[in-house]
Amino acid sequence: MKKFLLSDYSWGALLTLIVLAFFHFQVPFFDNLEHMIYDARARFRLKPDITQRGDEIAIVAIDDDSINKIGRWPWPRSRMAELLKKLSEYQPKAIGMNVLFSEPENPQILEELQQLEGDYGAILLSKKKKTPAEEEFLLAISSAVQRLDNDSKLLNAIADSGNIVLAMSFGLSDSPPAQEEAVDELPYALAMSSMSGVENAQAEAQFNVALAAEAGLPLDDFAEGSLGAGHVSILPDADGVIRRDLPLVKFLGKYYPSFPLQLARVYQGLPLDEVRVSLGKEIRMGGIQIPLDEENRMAVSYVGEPGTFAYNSFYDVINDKVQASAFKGKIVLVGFTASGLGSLYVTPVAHNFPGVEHIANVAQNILRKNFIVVPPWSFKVELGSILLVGLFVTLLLPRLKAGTGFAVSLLVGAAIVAPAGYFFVKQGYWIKLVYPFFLLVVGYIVMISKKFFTTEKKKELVEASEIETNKMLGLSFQGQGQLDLAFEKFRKCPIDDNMKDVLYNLGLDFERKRQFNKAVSVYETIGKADPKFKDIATKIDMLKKAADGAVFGSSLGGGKAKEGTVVLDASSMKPTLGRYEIMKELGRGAMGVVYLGKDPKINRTVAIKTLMFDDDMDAAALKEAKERFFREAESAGNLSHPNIVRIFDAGEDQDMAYIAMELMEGEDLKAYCGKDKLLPVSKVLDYISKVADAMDFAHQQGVFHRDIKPANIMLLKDGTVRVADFGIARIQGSSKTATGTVLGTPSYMSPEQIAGKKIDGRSDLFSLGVTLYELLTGEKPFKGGDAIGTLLFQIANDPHPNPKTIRADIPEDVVQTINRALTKDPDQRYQRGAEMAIDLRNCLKKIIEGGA
Amino acid sequence: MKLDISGRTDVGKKRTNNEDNFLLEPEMGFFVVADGMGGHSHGEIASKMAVETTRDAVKRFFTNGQKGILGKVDPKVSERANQLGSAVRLANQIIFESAKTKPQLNGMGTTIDCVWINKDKASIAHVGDSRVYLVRDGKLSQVTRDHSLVEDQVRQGLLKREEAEKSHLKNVLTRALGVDENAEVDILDTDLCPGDILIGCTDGLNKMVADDEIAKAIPLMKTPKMIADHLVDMANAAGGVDNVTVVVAQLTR
Repeated sequence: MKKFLLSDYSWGALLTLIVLAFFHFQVPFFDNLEHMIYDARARFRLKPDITQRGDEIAIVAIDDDSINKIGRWPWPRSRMAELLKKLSEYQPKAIGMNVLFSEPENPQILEELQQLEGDYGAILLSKKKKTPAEEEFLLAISSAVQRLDNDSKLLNAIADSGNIVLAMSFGLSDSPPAQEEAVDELPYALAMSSMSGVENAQAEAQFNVALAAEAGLPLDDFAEGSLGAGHVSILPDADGVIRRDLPLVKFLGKYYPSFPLQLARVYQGLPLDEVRVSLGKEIRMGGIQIPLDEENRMAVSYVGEPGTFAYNSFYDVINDKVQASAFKGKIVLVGFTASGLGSLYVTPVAHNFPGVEHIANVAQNILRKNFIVVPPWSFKVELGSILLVGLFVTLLLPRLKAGTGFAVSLLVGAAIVAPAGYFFVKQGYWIKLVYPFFLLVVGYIVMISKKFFTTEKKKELVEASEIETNKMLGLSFQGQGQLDLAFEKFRKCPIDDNMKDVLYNLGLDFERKRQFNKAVSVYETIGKADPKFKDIATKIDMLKKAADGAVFGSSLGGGKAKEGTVVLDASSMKPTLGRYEIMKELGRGAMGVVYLGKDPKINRTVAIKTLMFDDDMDAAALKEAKERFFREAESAGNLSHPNIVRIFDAGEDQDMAYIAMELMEGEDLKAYCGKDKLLPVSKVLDYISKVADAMDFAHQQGVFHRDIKPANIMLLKDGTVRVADFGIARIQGSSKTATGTVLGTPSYMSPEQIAGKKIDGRSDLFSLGVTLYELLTGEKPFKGGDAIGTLLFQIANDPHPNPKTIRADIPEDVVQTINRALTKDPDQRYQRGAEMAIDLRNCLKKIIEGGA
Repeated sequence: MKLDISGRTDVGKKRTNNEDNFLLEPEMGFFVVADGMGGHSHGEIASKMAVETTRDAVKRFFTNGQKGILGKVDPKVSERANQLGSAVRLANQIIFESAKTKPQLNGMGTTIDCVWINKDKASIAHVGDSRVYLVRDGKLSQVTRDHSLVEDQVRQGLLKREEAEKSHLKNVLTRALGVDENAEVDILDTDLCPGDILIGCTDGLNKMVADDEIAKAIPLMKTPKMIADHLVDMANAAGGVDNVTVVVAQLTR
């Protein structure tokens, strides 16, 4: 898990790029987030204080109270006319009727009546004589008509006021139908309300204007008496919240103002033509510049929750229950607040915002220049802040510690939010801070998580516990081959799963070194904690038996073998070396332990000689020694002679090299070297002659023994003689001997062997001569002194004492044989074992014949 | 950056056996040099224990991610330096306890210098009078401080450096592994630049070849193997009084 993780920088840079991409494509998700922030900020722009807000706008509400008292809507338009008359008395500057009068009232009844009036009037005219009752009746009908003609009343009222703005509505569409033919005669409402002051109509492609497909207009008669109409259409943002007004709508090729816009214009006393529009930028009305965004919309800065503006109930107004000051010189808005009537909008400030109050807010914004605007430099600031936050997250944040990083991030977050908030609330500048803020929050989370995970992985150093220390020591001792010390250390550790494996390995090491008791001890230690761990139960069993079978003896098949017999159950695992089953230990040789083994395939018992290499031999020397060993074993194995021990097999198992050879029952001739144990001369001659034959045979095969001595000559129970350890003696590790080639038992070595010169069969014959001497006299020909140097000097230079001086009954020709064998110069010695054998047999014949 | 390490040891011209030991682990960027002491060739056993135990301990840190270290954690040096210190203390305990169990080994000890290189940083653990040198831009500087009697005398102002060179006590050590139950180990970190060479050597080199002669010889050699061979030859040519071991590690781009 090293270099796979991206570096801190990459993460930071990647996040910044992603956010920049979002910023570029203006992804809706962020818009929603931004709107949430926007709405939160918008609350701070509320102006509950009337002096801040201004008092130019009043509302006359058709509320529930009025409905209850006056009757169900629709009311007769005479009521409206009544209201207008009353309002006019209070001298407002403008009256906006947020009620749509697109159809005449009760046309049918009126028409019928007017028809009747007309008809009756015609009838009367044609009559010469009119009765007063008939004239009265005509009058009655006329006045009924008059009374019922509310529309006319309203019409008059409108005209008399002279400051009425009417409402119209557009059905907005993204793709209005193409104009089929030019409309010659526009309805009045449109004709007097179209805006001519659009300065850059050609830029319309760049700055979208809302398009209308259809219109709901006030009746021409009404329109005539008014100052014009403004539309009340509205477009919410993607989340359904109204945040912006629609100052302009295009319909049939012309631009029409919104209702609040008209009201504001009238309030200002400006003709519509003097209202100048720069698409995508602003609307200029007298001294007021209304900022427009790229979609020609105006952001609404709501000044309060519903009810903030002065409400007056319609009923109260009609019944003179209001004061003049409520309306004098103001814009009076007439609209619905009754439940079920009028529109309710979702705004940042409230969810049920009456349409009429919305209009009031927009008008207030215009008149008091209370605008929220996207400043032209906002793009640069937003981009710049994203980049700055990106740099912070990429370069600085990873280097900071947890506490500092958190504090600084908070500061950065505040640095984004605070100025943006301030600008928004105080100056009305809308800067989108959602992008840099988002980058900061996500960047912080990513960096902190990464840090958390990476520090988790980095292991911190701790001082090892005593248990860990003992484990370390144990492992080191084991590595150095000091298994006892290793075990001592391991015993101090609690036995957890890991420790069980460690101990198990130690047990295996002990087994390899054939220290079975110790291996058992180790396994039993594991067993105390987990008796069922791996195969330790069977191992303990088996090793105990193998250890019990060990017997010490100085020679093969020594006398105490009987006590050592062991019965092994057939089913249990027996120790094996190669394919041989190890039955028991027979003894310890110079080079290693000798076991009694069995070849299960052919059911033959063999002797297994193991070779133990020095512990401090390095790997190369070990390899070399093993190679030599197997080479020698191979050549010795090829010697098939009745007087040479048969070698069956050689191999390696569990780091031990072994030879499987003929199992011999008997003892070596060393037993007969003691003065009190000497054999008769004839026997000695017999045995040695046979050995000489064996020598001859081997030498002809090119195999030299190099270590002929009594200990290597076996006298078997059946009286036969075997030479053992051909060439094997050469296998010992070379670390003990710097020159590496001088080996053998010094007392028996030939002069040339001592000198380290290349030896051949004649060297063996010298050694045989020494052996002969010793077997006959019970003394070695060269005894040496305290230091080995003396012995070597003697062998090389001094003549051997005459054997006859030690044992008188040695025949002269035997002495001659000895002398020749012990000649210092190999060229003067017996050249072949056969020669020596012949001489020896001749001596023997003489003794037998002589003795008879 | 690539690391090339090579080492050579020689019995010298006067001694019969070599009691120096060294080991290289190029994949880990690790090498260790030790000079053993103690009669009857037990120095060889001590130095071998030292190099093998430290190498195995470092391996356990490197591959098994072992966390615990022997001894106190020194926050002033790097994680690796602490781990080397732990490995050396472990070796000390192994040698010390082994000597206790076999009386014939009593008194055996060894110097040690371990170097563990990780990209451009080297961590070093040091006990004794074997040395680690840094060769940079042809300049030779000794990174470790000898733990010898004469060195202490020079530092205390009792002896001048030239006198120290000639002092017959210059083989006396103030610190060695295996002689005491607790070992005081010098651990340090050093930054490396591409082209830098680190040399770990036993006193068999310094006794025969002066620092400036070493410095002059190095630029002539191209590979660490050549440098190591040449320095050993120089020591032998100058008399070869002691076993000499030289390990050379070079950082190349």
